[in-house]
Amino acid sequence: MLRYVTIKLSYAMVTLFAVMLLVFMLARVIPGDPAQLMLGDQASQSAIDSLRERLGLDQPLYLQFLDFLTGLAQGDWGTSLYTREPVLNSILEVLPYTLELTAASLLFGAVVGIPFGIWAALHRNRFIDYATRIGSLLGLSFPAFVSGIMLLLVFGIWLGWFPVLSTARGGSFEDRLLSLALPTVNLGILMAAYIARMTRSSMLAVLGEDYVQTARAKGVARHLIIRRHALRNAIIPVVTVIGLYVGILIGNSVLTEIVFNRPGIGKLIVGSMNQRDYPMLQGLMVLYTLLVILVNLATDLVYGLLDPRVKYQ
Amino acid sequence: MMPENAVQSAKDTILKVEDLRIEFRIGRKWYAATRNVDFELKADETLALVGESGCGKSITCRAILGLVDEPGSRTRGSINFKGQELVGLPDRKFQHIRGKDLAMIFQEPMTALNPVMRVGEQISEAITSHMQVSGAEARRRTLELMESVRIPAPEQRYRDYPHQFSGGMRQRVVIAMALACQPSVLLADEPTTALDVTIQAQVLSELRELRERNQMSVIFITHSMGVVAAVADRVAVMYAGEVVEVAEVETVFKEPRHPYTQALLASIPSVESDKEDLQVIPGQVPSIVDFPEACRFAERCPHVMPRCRQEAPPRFQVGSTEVRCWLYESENGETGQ
Repeated sequence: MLRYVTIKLSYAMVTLFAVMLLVFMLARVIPGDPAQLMLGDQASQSAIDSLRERLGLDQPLYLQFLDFLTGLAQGDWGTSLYTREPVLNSILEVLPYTLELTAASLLFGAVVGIPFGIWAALHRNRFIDYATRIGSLLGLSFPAFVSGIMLLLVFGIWLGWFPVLSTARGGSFEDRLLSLALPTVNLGILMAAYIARMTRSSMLAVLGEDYVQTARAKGVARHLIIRRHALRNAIIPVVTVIGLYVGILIGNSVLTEIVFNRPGIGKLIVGSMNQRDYPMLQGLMVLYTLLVILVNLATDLVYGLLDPRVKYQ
Repeated sequence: MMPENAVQSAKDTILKVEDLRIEFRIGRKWYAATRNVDFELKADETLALVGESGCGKSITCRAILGLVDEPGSRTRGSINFKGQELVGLPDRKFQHIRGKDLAMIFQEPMTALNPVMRVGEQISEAITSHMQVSGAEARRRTLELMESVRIPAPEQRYRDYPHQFSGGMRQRVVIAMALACQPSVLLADEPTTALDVTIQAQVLSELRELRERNQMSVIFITHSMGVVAAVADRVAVMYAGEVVEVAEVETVFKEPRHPYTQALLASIPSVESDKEDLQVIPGQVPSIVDFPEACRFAERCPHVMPRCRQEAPPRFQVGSTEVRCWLYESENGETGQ
C-alpha cells in the first residue's frame, strides 16, 4: 500500500509541475505587456519599466518561473489589481463556502444517486428503471440557473421553507444549514444524475458476471449477493467517476453561487474576469489545479482500498 | 435379500430430467434452445453430458440449478430431484437447495470468483449460507475444505484474493466451495477446460477421489471424449439442444448408435491411425432460430431418410442404449416421446 501511495503521490507532483508551467506560460502569451495592462493605456514608459522590473519581467523566463513557484510555495500568490489585497487572502476568505457547497452536493448526489442506480438496475426495464433514467436525464439537461430559479420560486417564495437570500457570513449553524439546502440540491441534482446512471450501468454489468452466478449457485441469499458481491464490485467505477466529476462540480458551482447569491470561488472567478484581474485569475487557476489534483489523488487512494488488485500492479 | 436391496437402493435415481425445454424470446417468438432433454442420474454415478459448444449442455446444467431465470426465458418440462419438482420452484425455496444438496463447478475459474472478496470468505460463505455455525467454526471447516482440495498453506491462503491464485488453484477454490455442504449431486461444467493439460489431469483425478469419498453423483459436462472415457459411468450425448443418445460409457465407445455420436467418435484424432486428415462432420450446427421441427441432425447425417425431415424421432431402446433416431425404428422398443 505504501508503494502505491508513493507512486500516486509522485504522479501528482509531476502533474502539478506541468500545470503550473502551463499557467505560468499562459500569463506570458496573453497579447500585450502585463505591466502595460496593469497600469492602463495612459501610463508613462518609465512607470511601465519600473513595474516590469518590480514584477521581475526583465528577468529570463526560467528565473521568472522559479520565482513564480517559490512565491506560490511561500504563500505569495500576487496582489489583486482590483482590491489591492493579496490574492491568497481573497481566495481563502471565500474558499470554505465553495468547499462546503461542493461537499454537501457530493453527499447529496451519492445519497440520492447510488440507491436509485441500484434500484433501477435491479428492476431493469420496469417502472422504477424508466423513472430513474428519465429523472437523471432531466437532472443532466436542466441548466443550473433554470433549476436554481425554479427551486427558489417553489421552496423559497411560494412555500417559504428556505431563505431566498443566503445568510451572510456568520449566522447560527441552523441558519447556515438552511441557506445551504437549496444550493446543495441545485448543484447536487447534476451529481445525483451522473451517479445514478453510472451506478445503474455498473451494477447491470456486474450482475451479469460469472461470480454473481457462482454466488447464486452457492445458495447465498439475494440481499447478500447484491451487497457483498454485486455492489462491492459495482461501486469501484462509480468512485472513479465521482472523483472525475468533483472537478466539474467545482466548476459548476459558479452558476449556483450567482443564482443563490452565495460568496464563493465561482463568484470570485466571474468578478475577476469582468475586472480583468489577471493575478487573481492566475491564483484561481492554481487553486483549481490543486483541488483537482488533490481530488484525483484521494480517488486513487480510495480506489486502492476498494480494489485489492490495484495495489499489486 | 437384504444386501441385494441395499445395492438396489444405492442405484436409485436421484435426479430425473424429462422433456426439458428451455426457451428464449427473440423478438415476439419463443425459440427452444433445448427440447427432448431426457436423462437420469443415479446415486453414486458420474454421467457425462457431451456435445460441441452451443449444444445446450451448460444451459441444461444451469436450468437444473434454477439459474436460467433472466427475463425473456422460460423453462418447461420436469426436473425431479429426490422427489421434488424443480421446474417452477420459487427462487426463495431454490436458494436452500443450491449449494447445499445441488452444487455446481464452473468452467472459468478466472471469472467465477469475486475479485474483491477474500478467498476464505468466499468458501465459508457457502457454509454460512446453509448452516447455523459460528464464525470460528465456519473458518475451521473452510480450512479443512481447502486442505481437502489440496490448497497448500490454507491458513495463509485464506486471506488472499483470487488474483493471487493460479488458474488451477482457483479451480480448487471453486471445487471447495461446491463441496462445502457435502452435496449429493455435483454439476461440473467443463471444470478442466480452462486449465493446462497437466493441471487438468490432476484436477480430474482429485475430483474422482472426492466423488468417491463424499459419495456424490456427478453430472460432468465436457466436449472431450477423452475426459468422458476418464470420468464417466454413463454418457448422454447432446446435439443442437437435444439429448440424442444415452448409454453406458463402454457401450458408447464400442457401439455408438446415433449417427452424430458415431461421427463425433470418428472425429477424434488417433495416434495409431495413419490418416493425415482429421475427420470432420460436414455442415454446421443450425442456429437456434432455424432449428428444424423434425430431426435436428438430418442435414448433416450420412444416413438421412425422407422421414427424418418430416418428423422428430422419438426415443428408441436398443439394448441398454436409448437413442433418438429413425434408423432404430424397426428394432422397436420405443420408450417415450
